[in-house]
Order: sequence, then structure tokens, then C-alpha cells
Amino acid sequence: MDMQDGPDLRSLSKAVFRDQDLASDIIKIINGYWDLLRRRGVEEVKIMNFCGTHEYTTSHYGIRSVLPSGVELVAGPGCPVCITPSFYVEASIRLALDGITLYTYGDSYRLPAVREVEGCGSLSEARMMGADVRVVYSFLDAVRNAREHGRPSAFLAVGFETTCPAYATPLVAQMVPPNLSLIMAGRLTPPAARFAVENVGTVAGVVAPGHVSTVIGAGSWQFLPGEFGIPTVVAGFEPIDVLIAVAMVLRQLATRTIRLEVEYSRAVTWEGNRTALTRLSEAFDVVEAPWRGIGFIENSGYRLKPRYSQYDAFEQYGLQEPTRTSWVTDLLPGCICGQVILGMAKPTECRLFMKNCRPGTPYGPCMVSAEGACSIWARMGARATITGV
Amino acid sequence: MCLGVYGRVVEVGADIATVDLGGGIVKEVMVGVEQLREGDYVVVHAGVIVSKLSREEFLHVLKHIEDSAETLSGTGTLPLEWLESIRGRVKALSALLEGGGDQEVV
Repeated sequence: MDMQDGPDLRSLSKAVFRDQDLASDIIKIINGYWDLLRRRGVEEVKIMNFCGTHEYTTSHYGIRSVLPSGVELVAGPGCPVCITPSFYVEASIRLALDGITLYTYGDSYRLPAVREVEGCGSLSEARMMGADVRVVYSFLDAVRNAREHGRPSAFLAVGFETTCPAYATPLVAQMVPPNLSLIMAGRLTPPAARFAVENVGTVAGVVAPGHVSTVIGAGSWQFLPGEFGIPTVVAGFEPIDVLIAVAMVLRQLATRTIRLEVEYSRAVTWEGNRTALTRLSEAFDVVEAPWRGIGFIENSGYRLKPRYSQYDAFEQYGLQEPTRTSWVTDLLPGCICGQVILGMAKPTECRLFMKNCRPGTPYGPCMVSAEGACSIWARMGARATITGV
Repeated sequence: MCLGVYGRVVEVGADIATVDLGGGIVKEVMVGVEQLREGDYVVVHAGVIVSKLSREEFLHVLKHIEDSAETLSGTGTLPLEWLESIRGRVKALSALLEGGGDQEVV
């Protein structure tokens, strides 16, 4: 039988990967490996994720509450909206106020700028001031819309490697109309992961991002076990996926077999998506780029290749991207999003959390996006530690 | 933001495919993978198909669980009856994935 012709994989995925009895089994396995580690004198294992969707699954399903107290799951730099520098938001607001039709996703629409532009602190505020700002589901929607109206338009293009093929594909296929340009702010995750584990220093295991890895390939994370000796598991996004990944990390630690494993093999290959990788390399150069609250990270940004300069909003509108020398930390006073993004602080350790900074009135970038650690913790009622269970 | 939605390919064009995302939502998305066929299950992100799902690999994940339990049992940390129970559950779920199970999928 052709395996693709069997039962519906969408409903099966939910049935299997949200199975409560299976979850109980995996928790028993996790506790077993944790017992082995404790007997060896291990008191704490910090496991970092690099994806907001993993953080969502962890918080939404209360996974922290079912893990041994010494096993800590930490959110790393996994939210592309949170790390988009204020400069790109400010530039977008400026273009929108100057009469350019501005497209972006719902998350970046609300992303606050550090410096207001003519009284506007976000694209949503620019729209309130009468600017033509449009929220779209995909770049393709913007391509179609801009082609229809024909007016000068720009797209605030945020995202990691999962999202950037959505920009590269229409560019390479010559589907983008000449009146639409990109404010390219796409970023690459492995360089940020390297930066995080180098700076945090106490990461004992990594749950690597499943959907980023569908594009870049699981092999892209080999440096974590190879150079840093950190057990790494590329994982999916259902609760069972995250539990299995935790079990696999603990198993590696307990059996001293540190390596890269793929739990999300139903969607991820070792080499990645050749089509997407080819298009990314045709459309973009990889350059040193700034991350909000962190600064510059080598080889971590996508920039349009010169052959696509007619679609480059920086070229079209004379925007000057920040450089290492011109860069100033772009967080508002009191905001510790930079530390939260790197997993050095928990959202609840911020003095502004759920006081000045709430999902309805975000102050820092991590409270804006549905994938931001602060936003997730705020909406799910997550706590730093769970006691009395 | 890297949220991926599972869908089933309804129609394949040169650059654009029609995908049933469930819940009555059918969308035109860009083809971002090789050798896409009608009936394939895919991961859609931001209007692009970024990956095809492999049914065989669903079973592989369950094997991970069984392997982890067996290794643990070998150290004496997991009681044998728990190991048997886990094996039974993995077997039942595997049958479900292969289309031979009698469990109702909601």
C-alpha cells in the first residue's frame, strides 16, 4: 500500500501526539533517566528551545509542571518578531507615513519602535494616523494585492529560515511586481543559537526548532553536540514531541552518548529542503546583522542580492541600515527582553512583567508576538517554578 | 512565528498548489518542495509548502519511545510491567498509523 494513501495524517497526528496515556509513559521514562542522573550527582539540567512554538507547547500544555524539579526548560532566541531591531519598524513607519503602502504580518504590525516617528510607535499607530498599512497572511497575498493597485508598496519582511523562502520563492519566480519592495529583516537561527550557548554557558541540552529545520536540515545543528558537547534533539510541536525530546536529551546525558538526534523526522530531513535552500541562496546574501536587545551576530541576516536591488527598499528609498558603529541597544528603559531572548532571565524576573508590560499594552518586544516568551507566559499564566504539585 | 499547519494537497500547479488545511479552509499556496503530488500531506508556513510529511516516520517516533524505555529497563530503573505497557501502547498506536487499528480517530 502507498503509505501516503492511509488514514488522514492530520487527525492521526493529533490522536497520537496528544495521547494522554502515551504522555504518562514518556513522563515515566523521563523520571527514570532523571533518577540515573541524580544518582550520579546531577542536580539541575537546563534544556533550551529555539522556537516560540516550542515555548507555546511547553506553556500551553503545562509541560514544566510534569517534569522533575531539576529539569528546567528555557526559552532561547526563538521569536523572529521579538528580535527584529527597532530600526526596521521605524523605517517602515516612515515609509508608511510618506504614502507607501506597507504590508506586514499581524505580529510585526504591533511591534513597538523604541523611537517614535512623528508620534507613531508602531505600524498599527501609523495606520491610526491614516497611513496605508495592511496586515497579510503571506508575502504572496501582498504580491497579489500590490500588483492589483500598482502603487508604491513595501513589505516589512521579518522571519527565520522557515519564513524567508516565502520571500525568495516569488522573487526567484519573477512574480513580484516592480512597485513592491522588501524591507528585509530575515534572520538565521543557528548563529543565534551559537551566540546563546556561548553566552548563557549553562545549557545542558537543546530542543532544536522543527520547522526551521525542515528548511535548513537537521544537520545544521551538528555544531551543538560537536563543538559544545550539548545533546541536541530536533523536535516537533505537539506535546508528545516535546516530552520525547526531553526524554531523548536526558537519555543522552544519562548514557553519555552526546549527539544530534531528530525526533521530528516525519517532517525534517538531515539535508533540509533543497528547493527552499536553493531559492534562499539565489535571492539572498548572508551577512552580519543586528538582533534587537542583543546586537550584531555574524552570518545571521539575509540581505537581498544586488541582482534584486530593484526590490530592495533600502536601495529604493535610501534607508541606511545600522552598522556596528552606529548601533545602539534598542530596548526601552527597564526592559530586559535581551536577557529573556537569550534565556538568561525568565519573563517573570522582569519588573515590568504584567505591570507596565501586558499582552494588550506591550512595552517590550517579547510581549508582542504570540511566539514571544513574555506573551506566552502572560497568556498561559506560566510561573518560574511550580510548587505544591 | 514558525508555526506550520498540516495540510493535504488537492491540486498541484507549476508554482502554486491548492491545499486543504482542514476545518473547511482551502488555500492556494506556493510550492516550496520537490516532486509534490496530489494527496501528499505537507507542512504549510506563511503561504509556502516547506515540507512533505512522511507517514513512515510517524512510526519511527514511536520506536524512539520504545527504545528509550528498553534502554532504561536495562538499567533497572523502569519496572518490567511498565515496559510491557509502553510496548503495548506503541504497538496499538503504530497499528492506528498504519491504518490497521480499530481505534476511532476524532
